Amino acid sequence: MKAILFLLIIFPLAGATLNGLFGRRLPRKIVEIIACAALLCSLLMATAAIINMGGGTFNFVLFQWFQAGDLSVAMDIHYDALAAIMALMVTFVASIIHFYSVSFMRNDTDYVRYFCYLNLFVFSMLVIALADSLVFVYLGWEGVGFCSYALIGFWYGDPVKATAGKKAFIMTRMGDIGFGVAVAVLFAHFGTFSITHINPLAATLSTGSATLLTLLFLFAAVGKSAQLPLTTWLPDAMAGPTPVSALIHAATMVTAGVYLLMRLFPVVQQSPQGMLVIAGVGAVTAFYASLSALAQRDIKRVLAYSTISQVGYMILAVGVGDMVGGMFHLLSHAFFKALLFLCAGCVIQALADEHDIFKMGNLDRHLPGVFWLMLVGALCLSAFPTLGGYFSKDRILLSTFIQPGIAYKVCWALGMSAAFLTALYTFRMFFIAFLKRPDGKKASEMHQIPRFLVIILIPLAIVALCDGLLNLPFGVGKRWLGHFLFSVPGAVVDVRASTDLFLGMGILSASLSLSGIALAWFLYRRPQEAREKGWRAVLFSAFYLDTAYRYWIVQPYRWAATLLWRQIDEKHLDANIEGFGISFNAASLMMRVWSTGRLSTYLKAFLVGLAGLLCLLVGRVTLW
Amino acid sequence: MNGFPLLTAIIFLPLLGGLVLLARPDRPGFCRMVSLGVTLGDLALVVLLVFLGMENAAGQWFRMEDYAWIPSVGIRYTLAADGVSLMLLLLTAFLGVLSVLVSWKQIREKVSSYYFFLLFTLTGILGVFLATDLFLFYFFWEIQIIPMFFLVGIWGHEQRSRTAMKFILFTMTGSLFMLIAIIGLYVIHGRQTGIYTFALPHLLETSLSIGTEGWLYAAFMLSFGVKIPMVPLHTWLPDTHTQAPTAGSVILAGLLLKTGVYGIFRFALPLFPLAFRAFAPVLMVLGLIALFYASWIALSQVDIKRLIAYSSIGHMGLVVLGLAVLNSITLSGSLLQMINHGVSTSALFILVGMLNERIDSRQFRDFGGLWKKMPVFSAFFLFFSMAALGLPGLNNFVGEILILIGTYRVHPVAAVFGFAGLLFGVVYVLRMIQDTIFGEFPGEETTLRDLEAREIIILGTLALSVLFLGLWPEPVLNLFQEPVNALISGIS
Amino acid sequence: MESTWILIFPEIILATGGLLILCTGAFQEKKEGQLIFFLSLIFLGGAIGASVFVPLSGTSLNGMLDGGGYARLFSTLIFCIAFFCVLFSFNYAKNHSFDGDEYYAILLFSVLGMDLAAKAAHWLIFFLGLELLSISLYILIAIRRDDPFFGEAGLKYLITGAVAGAFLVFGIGLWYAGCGSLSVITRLSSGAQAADIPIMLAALALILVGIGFKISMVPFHLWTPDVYQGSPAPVTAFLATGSKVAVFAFLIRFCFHMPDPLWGPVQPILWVLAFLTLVAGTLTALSQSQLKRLLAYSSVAQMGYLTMTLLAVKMESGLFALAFYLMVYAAMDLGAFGIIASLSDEREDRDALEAYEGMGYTHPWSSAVLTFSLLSLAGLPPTAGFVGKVILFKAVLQAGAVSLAIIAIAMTVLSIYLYMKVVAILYMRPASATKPAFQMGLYEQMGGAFILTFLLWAGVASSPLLKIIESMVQMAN
Repeated sequence: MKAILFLLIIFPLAGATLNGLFGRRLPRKIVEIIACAALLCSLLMATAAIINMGGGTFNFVLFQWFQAGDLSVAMDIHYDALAAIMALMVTFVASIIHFYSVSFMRNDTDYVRYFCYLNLFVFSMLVIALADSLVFVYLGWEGVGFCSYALIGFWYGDPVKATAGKKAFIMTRMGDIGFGVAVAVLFAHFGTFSITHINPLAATLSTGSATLLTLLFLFAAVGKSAQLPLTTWLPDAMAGPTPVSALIHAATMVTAGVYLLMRLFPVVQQSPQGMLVIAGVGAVTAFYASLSALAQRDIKRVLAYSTISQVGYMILAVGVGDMVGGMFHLLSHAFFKALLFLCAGCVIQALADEHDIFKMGNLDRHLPGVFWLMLVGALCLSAFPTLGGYFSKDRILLSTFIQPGIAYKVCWALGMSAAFLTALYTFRMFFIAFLKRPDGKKASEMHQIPRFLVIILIPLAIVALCDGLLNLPFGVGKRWLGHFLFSVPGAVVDVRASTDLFLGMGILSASLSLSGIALAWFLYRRPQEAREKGWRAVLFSAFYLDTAYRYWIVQPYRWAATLLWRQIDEKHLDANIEGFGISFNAASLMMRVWSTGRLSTYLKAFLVGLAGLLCLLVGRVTLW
Repeated sequence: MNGFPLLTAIIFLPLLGGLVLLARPDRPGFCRMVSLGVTLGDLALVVLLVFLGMENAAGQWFRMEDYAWIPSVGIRYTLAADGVSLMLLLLTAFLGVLSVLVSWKQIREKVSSYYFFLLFTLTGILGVFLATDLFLFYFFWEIQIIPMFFLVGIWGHEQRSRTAMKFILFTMTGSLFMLIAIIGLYVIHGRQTGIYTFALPHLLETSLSIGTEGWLYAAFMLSFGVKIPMVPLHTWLPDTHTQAPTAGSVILAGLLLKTGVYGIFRFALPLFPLAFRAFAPVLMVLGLIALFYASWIALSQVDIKRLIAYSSIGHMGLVVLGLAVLNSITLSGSLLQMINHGVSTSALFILVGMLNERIDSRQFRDFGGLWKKMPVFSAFFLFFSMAALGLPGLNNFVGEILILIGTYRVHPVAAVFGFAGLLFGVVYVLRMIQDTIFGEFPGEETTLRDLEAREIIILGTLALSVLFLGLWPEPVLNLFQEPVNALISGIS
Repeated sequence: MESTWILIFPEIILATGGLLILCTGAFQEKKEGQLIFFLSLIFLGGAIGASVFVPLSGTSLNGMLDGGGYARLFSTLIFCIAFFCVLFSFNYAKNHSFDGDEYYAILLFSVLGMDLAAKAAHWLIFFLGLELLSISLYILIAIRRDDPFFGEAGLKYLITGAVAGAFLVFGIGLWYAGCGSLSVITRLSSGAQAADIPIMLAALALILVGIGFKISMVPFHLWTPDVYQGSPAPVTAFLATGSKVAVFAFLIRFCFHMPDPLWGPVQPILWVLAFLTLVAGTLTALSQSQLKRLLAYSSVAQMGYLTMTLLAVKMESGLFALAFYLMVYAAMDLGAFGIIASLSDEREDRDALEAYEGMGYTHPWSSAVLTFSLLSLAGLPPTAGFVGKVILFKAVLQAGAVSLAIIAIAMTVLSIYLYMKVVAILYMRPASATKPAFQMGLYEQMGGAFILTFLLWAGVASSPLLKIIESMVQMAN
């Protein structure tokens, strides 16, 4: 088992190292094979691990990292059901995306760097998933941050893209302040960083410190998962290659925040207020993002905002203490969102890097394969009944509803309306992009894309369609996921809700999503011209949040930097110190008045001196 | 083996080599080879010392050498190596080799005297890290400055002689007041015990009135604070870095700055524990101010060397914070962070130097899009930049986390500020990366030659040590354990 | 009785030497410097040997001369100084065509005067020596008859010197009136009551003016830069080192033996004088653009350090520090001025700082010696100046003059700028082809090499030298 888990982590790293060191000398095929093979192997290992675990949890130390005083940090593994699922999902999606990338990046000369980063990313993600010591988690946490930075700015030639990467790094790093402090707090309390040790002791925490910790970890999660108020980097992150957006900014990294909160759920649990805040953040973000998604034109930005809102649901799930629901949604979202992004990738390549949905149209005929796959994705996303997305979202909303207190009801309302909006914006995008329209693309404008790009998506689509079976509320394999995750501290297999409430909720959300689709059909079936006036402008700019940050934070920061340098450091500190030195020179010039070269002066000096001496003596004597 | 004065050999081998060079000013190639050989030899000696130290470590001190020097004034020639000095010796010898290699092609005129001064500085620094007789310490402390003055002033860039003067005046101002303090301490101790000596162990017994201790401490801190440098005594550093030749910057950032911290750790702290505790909050605030202030200013720099210079002021701020908090975790963290900073910042300066050899400029506006032209260079650049902003797995992270977590226990607020300060660090590093290797290349040169074997070796060794320190700092921290405990038990 | 003759053997050698040189000069038809040069070297060497090997004794010639090790130390030092001055003079004298008998002879006579002043245990001997050295120096300064510039310098030195001498004589007179004895080593007899103290203090003030002029304490220093600049470089070297060492040696003895009722009131005076000398000397030096003037003011500042140390003269460590620092001071100033002499051509001395630009590369060895002298003056390791300063500050702190020490350190910072400026000019500027200078002659090289080694050796391995000084100084009381 130990060996399996070790290999599971190490394969991607090995791939990255190999390609990083020798990739430039190897032929292209080899590089691609190394990269994909590494992933396949670790997927294999993940499967093997989940088969062998048999409901148990495994802790062991890879090796002692560093130690000073009573502080000691090890690179160690805490492998439980949660980690198992996460690892499997990550490796599965990642390997598909690796294969997809091979043909997607076929014309890019910088493939070595690309696959290097990609492998490295998977490694870091697995570390987050499996690590026990929070410092080790932090290693993965920062690692994914770096990879996302490097991959968003992968086409560094374009300053806009490079800047997008920078923005992502800085904003996620902002969240990491929370992480760092939280780790420090935990150490101050427990003298250890290992999750296995902390979770059992969580009950000993005072509510105050529990709340503090919860909020700090929430802040960290908010940064990574692009929740309010740190949402703005994710839409810009779409500057990266589409497979990257699919892997990092949809399926895995952005869900790391949620995963962290689940990992430390016992701590979170200690603080009701904290939980409420979490739920609030989740619900509001879900609603806010789905509104913003409603007016986007760039196909990838639509998906980006939908990601934000879907992750909002997961956060909400944590906030209402329904870890299973959250995990369930995390999984299904990973699959269908990856699918959607990859389809979008096909579209974009087929249209020669066209992102604006209003410039698309007629794709149903030109790209039939993509059309169907995209449809599957869209249905999942808009929670079409009987699909995974439906069950997971429904469960979250249900468990929100049954929470006591008006605040949770508000969250529930937000979630519900977000669900409706989700269906609406998803199919807005779908219809506008794919349905027939006079000004749409002609067959002549289409570019050939390799069949492989489409074929590789089929397994993903199948999984996306069937992942509802993982945790059916009824029938065979009922609550499989729930039972599987049962061993994880804080997990509840079943939502305690009366059957009729349960049914009512199900029907309500189903009708919401269906009506959303219907409204979309009604509004956007016919050809549209893009309108960006009034409320659309507001939504399009996501309520001017980004602009506000630029004007109120970024600009002043830059301005202050220059001010500090020019005004304070140079004009005052440096100048004054040097001025002090120079003043001696001036004094010296004054001294020169005595050296006139005239004898009379010198003789006068004698007399003055003598007089001075005598005065001193007289003074001294009279005093003495 | 113990009869052989190993420490002395380590200190003076470079100087001897330098004197040999002076004899052959006409053969630059020869000079390069000799100085490379000498530095390598010194490195070998240090490694030998490490192994010997490991096996016969008696308490804190691995090895001691003690001879009478000027008995009539009670001055002894006392060298002693403990874990901390051992690590710093290793760093010094290592960077010594690198700085010789770095100058291989950059320095074309007056080669022999250049290498003489380079080696001379090394001797001074090595001495500082080994001396435990305060007079001897001060002797080396000033020795290391003078060759540096020539290095900057003769082989520097446009503003060299002015900058060299600024450098020597700042550092000397500090150290001369420390000299007075040292002699004062010596006199006081002599008056009390009748033994006039500069030996640290004796002077530790001196009992001082609070006022006196405060003043002596202030004098020491003035000297060390200028070296580290602490805001607001830092203004010499950016100028000196910008003007110095690459090797000069390497020695400055990698070693000279460390002598300040080392001085606090070895002398100021044990000698004046009360004063140190009393003023610890001030130090903490100064450290944090340095962290924010310097990192903030770094963002707006137009000269890449200046940016790195400010960045190292920021990093040292964190180190000072660790010292001020004064528990075993933060102390180890600070010491480790010195080593880390020495490695990664030197690497950045070396990279900039290589860039400067190809594109004759230090201004950001002349850089950009280098990844297309020099992929290997850019890969290294990215790597070391990441190390600089404290990516876990690379060296700086360990030091930072130790310092901050250790700080949180005692002064949570300071720790929180520290974590926030790291963010400021990220901002300018990313800006540096973007304006250097990303974007489009502004100049008209169609091709820039990428790194050659020599340069790859230099950076490769540095990269390896960065990874080593980042992934397995255990041995280093073990070396620090003993001295740190000794210090803490000594002052409490 | 013959013991006395043995005691003054060095002085006898010098006197005869001077006369002999004059005679050879007289009987030599074509003036030819070589022989005379060697003669003077031999006699000086003899004097050094004599003063080293002659057995020590207490005060001799019924209390006229101090035959103790302390005095011996200084007279040896003075002879050595003279020896090097002669070495540095040779080429210069030849180029400026004053390498006749008179120069060397008068030089020897002035050495004799310095030696007497340094050894004097009696006011008359001191005055005698002082006058002898002054008169010979008047001539030496103005030795170049053709050049009005030097004439002026000589005149200034003559007149100011005369005035100072007058003060001194008057002071001595009052002193005699005060304590009824002209011996410097006065133990105030119980006969001398508090009534006499004021007179003696007045005498003291006058004496200090006279001596302060010789060792150019502020405010009696104003002549220094003019005269240094105006006199031929080797003579400047001699003036700056020999006469100062001699007079200071006497001042030390004077202060050391000063009876306590006087010592009390004198201390503040010394404090103030030291303060003024330090600050004025250093500050004024900062803005000098000519090397000789710069060094002149720097030597004023150096005198400040020494005066400061006089406060500790009553202590073992104080005497010790003074002796050592005087030695070092002589070496470094000799080095600096000697190099100037060696670099000057027949028209005028190499004085303007610009003229030294880039010399580090055209004249590596001269610049090396000059640099080391400057580093030593700045008190930086690994030179003798560093050790000297440390010992000196130690003495001062032991004497408890903390504030003065701190001021002095601040001045040291400034002086580092001062000397490093020159070093920077030597090495960090492109060589200026405006003034091609001679390379060093053989004798200058010897002198320079010796001084360099001395400064270095005394900087890193000074303990044997210090041991000697210690043993010598202990006999002083």
